[in-house]
Amino acid sequence: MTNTTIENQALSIQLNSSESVTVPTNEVWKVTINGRAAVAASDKNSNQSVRRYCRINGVVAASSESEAQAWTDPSDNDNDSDSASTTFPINAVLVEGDVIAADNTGLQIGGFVVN
Amino acid sequence: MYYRKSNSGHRVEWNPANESAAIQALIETSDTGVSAENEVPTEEKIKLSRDVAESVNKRYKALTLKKLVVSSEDGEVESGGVSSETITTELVNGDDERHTGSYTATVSIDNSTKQVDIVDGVGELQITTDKNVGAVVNVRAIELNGSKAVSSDEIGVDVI
Repeated sequence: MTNTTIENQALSIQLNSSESVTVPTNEVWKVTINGRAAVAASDKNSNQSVRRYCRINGVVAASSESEAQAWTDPSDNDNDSDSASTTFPINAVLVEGDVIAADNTGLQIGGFVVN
Repeated sequence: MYYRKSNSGHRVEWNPANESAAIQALIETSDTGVSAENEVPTEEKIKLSRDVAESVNKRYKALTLKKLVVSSEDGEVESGGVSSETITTELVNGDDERHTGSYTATVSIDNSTKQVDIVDGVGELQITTDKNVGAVVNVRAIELNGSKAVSSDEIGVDVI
């Protein structure tokens, strides 16, 4: 009997606003995507409330729960939402050519490349 | 505009919506290799380290931030509608510089809303009140172009 060891390559990608990452050719990713509480001090002081989006292939896949909630608490993260399918975190299996984009938020992408 | 490598070595690209602000952010940030607009390549992206890319991103956010700020002429309005008070609404960025262009702000005055045309970063409206002397008229900027994606600056105008 032959033992086969499958070694998956870890994925760790942090996206800032307006950044995107494309799954390379011949790769399949299994990932969890989270909103990232990367709010600059200047943003906190402005008391700006902005709904934050993650898009996969141009389609909104997840967002912060609401405009009113977002950024009103500097220590708040996006993954404390309790409703709807459009909130963080999301789990996804992505194939080559798929694009994850951060609209006006930071995103934390963790997981592995499936071998 | 730029690309960088992620922790796991994947290519991350930056595609900002506001190109002129993005170029300005590249110019104003150290170690981008860009000191003038004509140094930004049109066909390909600039390779940056993660730290420099983050600095560019922060600068871009400050330049494109849309923050509404309200102020009043002297902070007082006469009771009984005797005279009006001018309320100024400004649309500024993270450096408190006014945005150019035309926008519409929604301002709430004691919970009733008014539309204010913002041209090149500033708009005005007049308010009067029937409140009694000693009361306060609350003025708050709540929306920009129908979206809540703005700060909610608030002031109180004393009724005299």
